[in-house]
Amino acid sequence: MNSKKNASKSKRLQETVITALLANIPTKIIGSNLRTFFYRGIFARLGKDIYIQDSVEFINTPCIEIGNRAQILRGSNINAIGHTDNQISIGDGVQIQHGVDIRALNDTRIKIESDTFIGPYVCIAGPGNIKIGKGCLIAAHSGLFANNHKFSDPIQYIAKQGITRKGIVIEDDCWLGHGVTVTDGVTIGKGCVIGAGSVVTKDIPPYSVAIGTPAKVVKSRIGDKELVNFTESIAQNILD
Amino acid sequence: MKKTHSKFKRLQEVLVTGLLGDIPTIALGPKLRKLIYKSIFARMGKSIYIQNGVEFLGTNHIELGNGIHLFKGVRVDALGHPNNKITLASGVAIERNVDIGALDNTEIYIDEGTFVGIGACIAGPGNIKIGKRCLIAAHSGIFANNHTYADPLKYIADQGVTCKGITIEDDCWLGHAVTVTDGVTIGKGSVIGAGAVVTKDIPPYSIAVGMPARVIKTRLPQESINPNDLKIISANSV
Repeated sequence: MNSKKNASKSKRLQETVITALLANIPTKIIGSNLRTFFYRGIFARLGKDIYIQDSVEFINTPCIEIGNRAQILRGSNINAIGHTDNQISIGDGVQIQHGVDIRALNDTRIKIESDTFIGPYVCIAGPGNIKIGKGCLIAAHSGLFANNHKFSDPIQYIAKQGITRKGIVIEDDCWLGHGVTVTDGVTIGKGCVIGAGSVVTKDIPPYSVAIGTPAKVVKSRIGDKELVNFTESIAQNILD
Repeated sequence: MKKTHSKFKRLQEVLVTGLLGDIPTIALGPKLRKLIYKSIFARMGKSIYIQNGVEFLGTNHIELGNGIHLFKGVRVDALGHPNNKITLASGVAIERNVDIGALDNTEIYIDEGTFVGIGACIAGPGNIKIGKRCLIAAHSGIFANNHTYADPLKYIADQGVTCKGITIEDDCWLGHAVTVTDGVTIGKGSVIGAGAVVTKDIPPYSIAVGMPARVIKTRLPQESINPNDLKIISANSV
């Protein structure tokens, strides 16, 4: 038990030293290449052709995976501290713009699948599990929070009443506009469009266009004509 | 020839910004930057204050007027197309962490004395013009791109974007976290309430709120709502 604790302490020390020494070296050619070379030893997995700009902060790197061709820009903070089973996985070709905050918190799995774009200053936080599918577009200032504060007791402080942790799923090919909030327990179906500034509090069926606070479905992306093509293509997929 | 020239320019830019970009005020960072950045920008006016940690990309497409303030964490990105152009006119103040990105064949013009608040994002590829003495509050987003998503069988990301452009005329105030979508013109002297999403043109001197933003009031005095007077006012304002 003690030796396990010591091992994790030495890992943490190694991580702190390496990230502190390398995190702020500028330019792609020198900084990013040095980082991807030396970070390999401290991450759970690090793919090829990764670009990590300067001033990106990683905490608890043994729980963080980054796929091939991923890009992480300046000022982002990816934090897996809080529990040994936390896992943050960033897929192939994912683009994380500057100032993005991804935080696991407590026994949390956060998974961002391939080729998804995360805009500037987006916040993604557990402790519920979060899955973002392939090819999604999450615009700037959006917030995905897999925690809702409980406030049933008016006498106690809200901060002391605990939180929910149901988790959030955003399926493939979704577009979230500027400043969208997704609250805990929500599933957004495949191919959905969520209008700027919306607050999504309930599940959204696939291929919907939803807007407002709370977000309501105003349209389906599948018209009558598309529906025929669409069912055909699904049938084809099943046959294949 | 042209390519090697632009490659050389980029190298020069990377070296200059890499060496000088992070020097703090106590080590005379802003003074040094004021002196040496002149060589890499398309134009750079007088008495400019650039705090440490400001990122510039494609500086030969960026013009800065006199008396500009740029604070920590700002990113001004003009890379992506040789015709990109970003102009910050005299007296513009850009607060911390603001992101200005041109993308593709884009002209972004921010006119005299305009203030852009913390963490605001301004991005093309449509052209964007923000007028004189505007106030853009924190966390606002001005995006001259709307994804097209007509085909449900293709990924939205592969279906391209619109690029009609955005115009915000002089003397507008955008509240906290306002979104402005592509193709919108906000008329002179308008006020947009916090959290509003502006999807359609707003006439001059309006107060608009909500999602989508609706005009709820005009700033003009009651007796001058006569359409003829409005014409005179807007004619005078030009």
